[in-house]
Amino acid sequence: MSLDSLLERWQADQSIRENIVFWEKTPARPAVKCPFPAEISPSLQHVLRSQGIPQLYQHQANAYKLINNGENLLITSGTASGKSLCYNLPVINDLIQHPNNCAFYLFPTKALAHDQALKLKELLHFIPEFNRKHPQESDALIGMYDGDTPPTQRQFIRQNAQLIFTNPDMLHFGILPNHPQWDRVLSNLRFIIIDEIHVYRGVFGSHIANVIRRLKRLIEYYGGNVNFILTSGTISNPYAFATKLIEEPITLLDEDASPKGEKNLIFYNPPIIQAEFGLRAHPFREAKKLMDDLLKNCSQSIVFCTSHRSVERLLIELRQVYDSELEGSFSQIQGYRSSYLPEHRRQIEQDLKSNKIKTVVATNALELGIDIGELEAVLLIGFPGSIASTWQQISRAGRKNQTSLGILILTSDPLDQYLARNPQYFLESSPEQPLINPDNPLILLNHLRCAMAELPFQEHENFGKANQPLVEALFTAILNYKEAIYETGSYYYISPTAPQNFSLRSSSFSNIQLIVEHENSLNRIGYIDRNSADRLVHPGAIYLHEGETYRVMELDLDNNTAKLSPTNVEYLTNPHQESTIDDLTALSTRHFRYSEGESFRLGYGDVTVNMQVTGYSKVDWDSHQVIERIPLALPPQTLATKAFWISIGEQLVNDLRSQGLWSAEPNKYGTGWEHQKNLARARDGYRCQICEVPETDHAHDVHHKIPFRLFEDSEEANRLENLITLCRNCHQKVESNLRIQSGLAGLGYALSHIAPLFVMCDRNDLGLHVDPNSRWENRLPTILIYENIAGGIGLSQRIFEIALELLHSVYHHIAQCPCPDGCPSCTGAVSENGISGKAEALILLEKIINYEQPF
Amino acid sequence: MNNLSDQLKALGIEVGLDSIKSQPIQPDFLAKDLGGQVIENYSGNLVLVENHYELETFFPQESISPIILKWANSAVQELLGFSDFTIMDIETTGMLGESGVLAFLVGLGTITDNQFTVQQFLITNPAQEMAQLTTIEAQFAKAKGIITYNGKSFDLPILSNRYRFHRSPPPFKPLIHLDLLHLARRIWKNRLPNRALRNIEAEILDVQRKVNDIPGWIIPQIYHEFIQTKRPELLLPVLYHNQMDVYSLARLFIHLNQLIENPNQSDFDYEQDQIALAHFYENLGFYEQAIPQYQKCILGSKNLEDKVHLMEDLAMLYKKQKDFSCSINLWEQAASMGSIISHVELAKYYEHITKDYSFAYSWTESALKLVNSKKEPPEEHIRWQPELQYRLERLARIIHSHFFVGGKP
Repeated sequence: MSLDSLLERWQADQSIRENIVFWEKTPARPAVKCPFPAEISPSLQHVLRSQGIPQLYQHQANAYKLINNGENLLITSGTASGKSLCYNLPVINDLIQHPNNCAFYLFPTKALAHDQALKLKELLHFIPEFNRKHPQESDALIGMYDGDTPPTQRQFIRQNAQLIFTNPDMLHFGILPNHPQWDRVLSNLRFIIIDEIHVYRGVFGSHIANVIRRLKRLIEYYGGNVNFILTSGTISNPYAFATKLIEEPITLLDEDASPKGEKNLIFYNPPIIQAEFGLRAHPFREAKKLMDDLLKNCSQSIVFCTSHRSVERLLIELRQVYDSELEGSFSQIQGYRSSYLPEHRRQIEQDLKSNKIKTVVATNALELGIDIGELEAVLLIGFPGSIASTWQQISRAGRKNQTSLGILILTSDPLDQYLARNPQYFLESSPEQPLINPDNPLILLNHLRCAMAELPFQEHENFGKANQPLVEALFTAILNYKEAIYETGSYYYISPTAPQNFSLRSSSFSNIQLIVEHENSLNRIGYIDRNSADRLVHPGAIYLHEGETYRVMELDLDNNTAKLSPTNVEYLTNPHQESTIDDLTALSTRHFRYSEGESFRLGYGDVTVNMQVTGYSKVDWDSHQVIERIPLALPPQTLATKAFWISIGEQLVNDLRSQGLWSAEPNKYGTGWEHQKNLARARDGYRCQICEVPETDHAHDVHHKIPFRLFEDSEEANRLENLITLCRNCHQKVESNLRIQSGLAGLGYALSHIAPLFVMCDRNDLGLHVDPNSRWENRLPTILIYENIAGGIGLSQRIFEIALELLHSVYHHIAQCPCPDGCPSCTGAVSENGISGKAEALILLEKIINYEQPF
Repeated sequence: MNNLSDQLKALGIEVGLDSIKSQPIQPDFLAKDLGGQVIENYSGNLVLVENHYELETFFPQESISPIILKWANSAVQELLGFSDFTIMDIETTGMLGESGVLAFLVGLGTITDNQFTVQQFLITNPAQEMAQLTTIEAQFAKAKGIITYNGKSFDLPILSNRYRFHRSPPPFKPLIHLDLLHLARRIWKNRLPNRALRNIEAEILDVQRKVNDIPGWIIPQIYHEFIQTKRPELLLPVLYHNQMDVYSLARLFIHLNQLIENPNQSDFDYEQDQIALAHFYENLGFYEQAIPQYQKCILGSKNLEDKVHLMEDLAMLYKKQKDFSCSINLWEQAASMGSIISHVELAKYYEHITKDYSFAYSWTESALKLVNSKKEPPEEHIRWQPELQYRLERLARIIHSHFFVGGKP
């Protein structure tokens, strides 16, 4: 059976069709071709023709013309659209005419750079101008310059290569600090190609923007004259992002004239299996069901999982079913994870391309651009966190002439469920936009040091488009730290320590190194911000790194290290964090009217958060139920960052309160509670009334069948008939969340879970602080969302700008959630302290949306 | 918290006061305290400290050893004098490969008549660098060569970077570069485990430094402190250290010239140095010097193993020159002392040159016996056993075929 007939069958099969919440078919489309522009050298045209490229796609020709006109170009055409020819063509043609010219090719990963360098190398072999003396002479033009380049080759590359394939880290650590050794390249630099710019978002992107400022400053010094050619995956408003990244005018080329077969995009929401708690079937189970069909009916596919554990488990289960039907020992189903050896991964990529493998079960290690040929189907288990990344994975399926399929199986995560209900959001007008803030003072300070060491700063010299008063204040700070001196109108960096020794993936002064002990050797797998360490790598935490699972054995804050150990435990961990706001200064506010008074106000500004991780819960991997709560003794820490907040006006609160719809106060179970509790336990024979487990060393919990908050009076709520004895486990199953619940908290929960989708950041980049009585906002109930990144990178400002749109979306999301009383997918699960506040959150939102006239 | 400086403070950045910018200091004042003078050119000014040494006691030669020039790959045919070379040692603000590393002090040594002069070009702030580089360039314009210690990997790349940094071509290309570290390694590799200049000067040259001479690694920190405080006395030990390095380097250069040109002088009487010299001559193709040097070493060698190796080496040198009678003589001697290679070489000689297969057979046979008799070291055994076995079988076949066609067995 072909994929087409399988899709027809799914369409007809009710048991599958009913779970498909979204199905979009993009019809097949032929290529639009055009002849080579006349400016392209005849010999290059000849080579391309002999390579089976008799004509260009329209967008490739257009790209060529724009670049030839001296414009900076941003290319956003999709995967397999001949994107690399868009930038290689002008570079090669220029090199034929100007044999000394040079170009930098920046790729986000080494593997991608190698892949592209190899392809270009093969093409250059055929160009007679580059191979006059002997065949393959052109190989010397390409320099693969990264951390893996042997020292013996580096000098040769610096002295001879003209097309330098590298990555931003190498530019930062290796090339810019040694720029005099690159004077030939920098003086003759004609093009800078930056591939996959959407990767450079957040802190990383803010660093990269500064690395680009440094590069441009040196190019100016050496008198080079460059054009930028950027490519990007699917993001909203790539133009604005690219302009911010390179701080140059840029032309957007978003057409795609390459041929495409029919594409199917399916969102699959696992069916609800337990209505009361809104529990859905496990996505894994559904994935297996669909994969079974795909394996039997489709030629090649990839399954993307979010963790190595899922990869391994799915791999085993699929092999059990499928491999037994096959001859031979080689399995056509392979796993793909970052912990596989590079050679092994290259082999799998190769085998996919040559059709030896039918299915790969992978983590996102496979995500970025590596050429694995065109596949028929891609299946994603769970939303990978951002729309750009989802497109990146889904686009792995797609062929020139035949039908292809991308399926996203949604989990019960709020973001997944949001997409289940708003699939069109995925396709149209997505507000998701990568944000960077190159002027984050901590990030900027580090790069000013580097830039100053690279080339002294003149007094009042600009640094890219960085805020000048900030730059000058930071110059003074560098002087103050005695790392520079000011002499005859210039700042000279004179510190004996090298300024480049910081991570491009962090903004804080200190980083925690993640160390894994492996067969008696210590291996550093990465860094995280000191700020995030308490939450992410506290002792006992389960930490995921590139799809691999580790358990944190030790967090040593004196030596800035966390010791990790690979693990296969069946749970995840969630930190319990308490926060207080130590300072809040608005940079901008918007007020909204409600009859005579204020309905609500939005704010954005500087915040100082005092945070302490007080413990963590172990959460079962499959059921998301809390298994155990463990206290921790970690010191509190202060974070100076930016925040967005929404405060509810007094008028609105009074109105809600008078309607009995306001319940931000925590439950007080009343004076007789302890007594009633003991009576209930005795009545139930000190046994859990669900699993019948008897009490051992500690007392079971006593649960309110009808939530306490719904009663006017505590005695009524605490009647024995309303109480039931439950063991800790069962109690947590029934009330799987411990967050404070109220309309305010429910709204905060939903807001902070949906916002990352709108501002394209990681869940961990945002923190939530809900205060029914905020001293910083006239004692008004306030939801504050702060950035977990010291100094901020613009996330909260963006939330502030799109707040109304976001609040609308959150309202519809909660309103459409089928759960009766809040669930982890909307306002958070029902808790011990009462109900989830779904109803209150909805009413609150309704009022906000209806009374949003500016004050 | 609206003030920029307060906001930065909340992030942990202390801005401090704008008045922190330092006032320029008078270079004359500094130069005087450092025992130098201010010099000026069109790029600005800097400090020059000059010191002179009398050299008569250890300066016997007129011209530089041609063997050393050959070693340095120099194509120069003419005779070069000591005054054609400038000795250089630099002090920097950091390591190579770090950006913005300055060579804040460049010490240059020149030998003229019987005087040795050390000129130290010091910049007291980075703005003076161009003036410093211009001055040095002018100094090198007069020289034909440059002498350094580890200059190939340190001094020259750093200074070249500084020239390129100022968009000016480095002036070193036309110069013959003698990096004495590499020469010292060749000569003293077996005797001195530590070939740092400090160690060489103590072991070989008998140069005495003040006990409180500072270690080199501390110099970047001292300069950093100087540049903040502008206290000249901080730099005095750095100037001394650099001066001594340049002085030592001059002494080392003279010493190496004498050793290489006249190895029989009594104060060079270290067996390992003499052996290293024999190899050195041979590698550079100076066979006229190499052969007597080998012979001297073989005669003088007290260690049997060394002696055998030297005989093997000399025999190979004769073989290269097709002087087989000398080779055979040495091989036979060495073979009797247990040299496997000599056995093999003799077997090869009889098989391929004189076609005397039964001689070749018996040398191979005894070599194999020797290899089988001493199993240590095992890698020797593994290396030779199969090769010899194969050779023996081949020779047996040849002899057999000759026998049956009526040839001489």
